[in-house]
Amino acid sequence: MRWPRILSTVLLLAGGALIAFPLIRIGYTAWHVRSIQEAALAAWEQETPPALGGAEGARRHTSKGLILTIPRLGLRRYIPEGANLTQLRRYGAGRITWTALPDRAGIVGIAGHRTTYGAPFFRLSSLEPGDLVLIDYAGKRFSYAVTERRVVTPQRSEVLLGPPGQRGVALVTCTPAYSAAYRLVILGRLREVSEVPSRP
Amino acid sequence: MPQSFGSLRIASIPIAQGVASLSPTELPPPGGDVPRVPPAVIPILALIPILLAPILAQPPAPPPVAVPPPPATVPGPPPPQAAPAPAPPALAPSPAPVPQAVPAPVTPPTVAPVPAPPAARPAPVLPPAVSPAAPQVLPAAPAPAPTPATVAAKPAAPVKPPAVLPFAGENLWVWFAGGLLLVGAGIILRRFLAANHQHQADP
Repeated sequence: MRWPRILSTVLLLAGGALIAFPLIRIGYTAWHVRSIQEAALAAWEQETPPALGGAEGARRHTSKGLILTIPRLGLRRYIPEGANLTQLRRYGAGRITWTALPDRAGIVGIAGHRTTYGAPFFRLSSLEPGDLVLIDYAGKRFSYAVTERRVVTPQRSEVLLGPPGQRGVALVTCTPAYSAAYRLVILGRLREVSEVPSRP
Repeated sequence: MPQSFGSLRIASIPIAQGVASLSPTELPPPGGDVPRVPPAVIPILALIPILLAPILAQPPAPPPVAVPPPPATVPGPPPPQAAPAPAPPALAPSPAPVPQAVPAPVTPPTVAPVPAPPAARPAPVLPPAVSPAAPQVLPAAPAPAPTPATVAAKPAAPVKPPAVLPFAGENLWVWFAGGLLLVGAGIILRRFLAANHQHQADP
């Protein structure tokens, strides 16, 4: 009568641990990325001082990467170069290096985690056509309008190529939430390019 | 059989037929008082490896391939392979075909059938190039050189995407599901044991 009881206890404990693991992981990675993101944003803003928008800011800006802002989601993140595992675990998001830069023709591809590592793109699916996506890069602010939302398999990487000559943005994350089976791709088209507004 | 003690009468009530005694005293099996494993535990035990398998062997989704393809080298090779096709008869087959190409013009009448094909192939390519007299020598050197050079200038435009989109998520649902299943199995086992224990304790 003893070992079935021990077994049931082990099952309960193991099950509880398995259930708790994702929660702990989400919390820990969010805490880890948050500090890195805050430091990166601070460093970015230090390189481009508030009073120095535009050309002077671009001239003084030396770090690679860009700032992604999605007003509807209240999201503002530093996006480093590279969307490999290391960068995504460090910053939660990253620019896909084989895609275009904002100031070139083509699609700017940005990948971000959906649930862990700060979950920058957790509510990405709530974006609707017309929503603004802002990218600050090289002293310029590139404003994109969301045009399309696609769910594709991970092998459909050609969705980031877009039609030739078109300038746009593609935000990539995993879907459904808590799964990596598919990729959610939010596509946007460049609406205007302006100077980065100076911060108060 | 009723008995009477003064005014007190005690009646013996017969019990139902086939019932030996009123006390349900079933003795434990002679093997000992250690109870056997309830049979319902066996399927639960069999479930454990099935439940743990997807968790322990969680397939790490394909890692992101965000490495930019080499710009100049990738597009270069394919054109040279396609372009030098006409040239190789004169240049590439340096060890073996050279002796074939040389005797071809030297002994045209006698060995005509054998070397004729190699000589006939370069012939249409060469005439437009320079002169018909020395066809096999001229195309060899210039032909391969210009083709890669001209093609190498183009390749900047086409960018071939990697095989997969970046891996920006985790299969956390597997942990949830596995945990819930284990907890459920543990609860079921507990209840079964409790019911079994109660059944044994109740008279």
